[in-house]
Amino acid sequence: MGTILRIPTFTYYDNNTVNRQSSMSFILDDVLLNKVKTRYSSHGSAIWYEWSGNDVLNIPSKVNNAIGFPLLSKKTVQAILPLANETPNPSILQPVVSDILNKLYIEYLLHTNIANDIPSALYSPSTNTYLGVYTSGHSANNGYAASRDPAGVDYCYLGAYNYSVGYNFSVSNSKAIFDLEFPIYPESFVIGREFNSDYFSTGSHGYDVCYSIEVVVEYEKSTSKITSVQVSASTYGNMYTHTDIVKGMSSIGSDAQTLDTDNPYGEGGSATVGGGDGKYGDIDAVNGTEIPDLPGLSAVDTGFISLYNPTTSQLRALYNFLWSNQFDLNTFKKLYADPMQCLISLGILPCVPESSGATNIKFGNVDSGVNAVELASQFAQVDCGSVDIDKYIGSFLDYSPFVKISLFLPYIGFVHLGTDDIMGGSINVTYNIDCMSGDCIAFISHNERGVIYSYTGNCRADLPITSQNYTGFLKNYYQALAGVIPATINGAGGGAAGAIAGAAGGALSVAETVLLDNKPEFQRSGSCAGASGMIGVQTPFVIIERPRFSVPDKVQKYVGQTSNITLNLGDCTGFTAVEFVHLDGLNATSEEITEIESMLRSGVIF
Amino acid sequence: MKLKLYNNLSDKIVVDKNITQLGSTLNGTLRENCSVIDPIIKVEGIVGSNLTKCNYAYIEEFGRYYYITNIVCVGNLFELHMHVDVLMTYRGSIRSNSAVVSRQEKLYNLYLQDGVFKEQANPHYEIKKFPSGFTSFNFILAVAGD
Repeated sequence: MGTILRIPTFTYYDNNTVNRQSSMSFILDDVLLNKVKTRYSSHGSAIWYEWSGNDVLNIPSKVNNAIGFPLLSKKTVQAILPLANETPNPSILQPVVSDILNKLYIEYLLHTNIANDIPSALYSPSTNTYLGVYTSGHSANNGYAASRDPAGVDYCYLGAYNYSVGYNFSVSNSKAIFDLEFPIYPESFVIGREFNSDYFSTGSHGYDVCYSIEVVVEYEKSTSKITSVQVSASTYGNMYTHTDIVKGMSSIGSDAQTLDTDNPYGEGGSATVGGGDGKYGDIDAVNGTEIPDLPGLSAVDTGFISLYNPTTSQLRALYNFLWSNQFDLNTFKKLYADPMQCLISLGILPCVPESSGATNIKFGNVDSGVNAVELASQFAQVDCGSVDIDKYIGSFLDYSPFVKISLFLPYIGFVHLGTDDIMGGSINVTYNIDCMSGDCIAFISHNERGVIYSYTGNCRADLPITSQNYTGFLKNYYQALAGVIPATINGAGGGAAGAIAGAAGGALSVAETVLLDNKPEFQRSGSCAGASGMIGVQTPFVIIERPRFSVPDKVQKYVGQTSNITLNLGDCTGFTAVEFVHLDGLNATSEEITEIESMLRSGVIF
Repeated sequence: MKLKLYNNLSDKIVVDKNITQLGSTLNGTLRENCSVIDPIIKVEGIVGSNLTKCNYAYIEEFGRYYYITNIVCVGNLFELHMHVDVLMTYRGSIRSNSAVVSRQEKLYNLYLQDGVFKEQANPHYEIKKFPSGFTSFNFILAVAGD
């Protein structure tokens, strides 16, 4: 789009008689404004007022507001010059010498590119005027903004018009009503040093080449105030409305203008278009987490601790050794004060770590002669396998809140899984276990999404050997009771909300069709850790609760199925109900069209 | 004015009506004001099954199909009260438009929630065991030293 060539505009209104210029001028170009103020800052009693913001006299601001488009500069200036024999009084409008402003205009043209582009043949140095370039001292010629006279001379109005008579012109003792016009030409109006001939043709309406904003101003003399500013709907027979003007401005481009400051929320407001700046990446991309490997370091690597997996008979043999004469107490006493100090712990676990081979149990560095499997690590992993969580129908009824899934994990208890997380795939349960403490963590991993849940528990039953560690045994027992908390219950009360949200528009009443699913959720287990876990279920299992839905035969013929697809109605067969439609091409009355839309929304059969 | 009387067996929401013409086309002249949407036409000579089955009409000059909503006997005339069938009349133009369809008999997405379905109070329970679990118990003895 090109930029707009803004031509400074002056205008006058006739105070008392036809063609008499007044003192009210509006300079809308910032460059010219500065030149005027600088050059004529103290001309006689000239008083320059600069209007902006909420000033009631800020006509360009009002125009901007009226057209809803930041077209006009907010700066306006009123030049008030007294008559030669009158005392200057800014509250009284007085005539101004037209030559001053004409000269200002010419000066402006000379100092801008506009002047450079005006064909030199049009300039008359003797009169210091441009032939064919009329400033606001010239009356409009049937409203032609740019045209060619019968002699073939192109001319244009670079400025507003001096309305001697106009559609909205009137003067009374109390007020004056006059037109202001702001013609805006497109950049292509001037090409090089020539006016674009496309814009000039004999007999053409010049308004076709520019966009004019016509404003009707009502000025109250007694208060020197503008009491009304309205954008006019028509200009010289071309029925431009301000909407057309805005469209025109949009089509030929416009420099951004600073909006006026009337907006209490800040100049220019804060509303803006936005959105659609997402990366539109792979919305289904999954970079799942694998079940972690067991740690590479363990207590047995330190040498301070040894772990064994003795059988029952081997434990008995060890016990007998400790109480036998074979146990060299003197040797032992050199190392320890109490033999039981060597026995760190004895427990029962549902798993066993990897073995490093069979060896004699050394008790306080004393070879017991009892051969047992020594363990290479304190950690073990138990893979419980996978189960498929299949969709039953392949519809919304296979997902939350309609389907609820609970999972029992040994040594942890029942947990609730998110149906939407796992439906349609398979889940695997794998435990990583620390056999020294008995702490375990169960990973639930999805076949496509990796690990999506993990729960902790304890799977060790400590065996009390001494009175001291019996106390510890009880402590562990009580801690285990308070240990595991089942996962958050999902789906509670969601059935009704989900069903209501999906109710068929207009087809059936929600209250008639949906059974409220506000059944209470019950916790299926407490803690199953430690010793209680040992005597509990040892294999995970999953409980899938699905709704028993009631669907009439051939329901799709009566009410269809949910669609939400943009379709050509000609491609539809059978029951069809629409949500949004704009009916085009119907030679029907508005009442008929309304009835058609209503019937389409409630459902028709093609 | 040409008036055709039909027997319509289709539901009012059906676009392409299953209609059977009754008798021959009636010719006449409009003598009074007549609504194009809800015309009232006085007809003579409807007899027998044509009267009992007559529930649909087409007026050629109006270019519209009509439901006959009421038949009033006025002397030897039958006053047919009609209302335009917008679906049958404009079926071609309707089909040429597109729309966001909320429900459709054949083109649907079952993953969209649907409030039409009713649910019984007794749900289904499916219970699946995992293939394996903890199968044995083991003593784990920890002693000090290597």
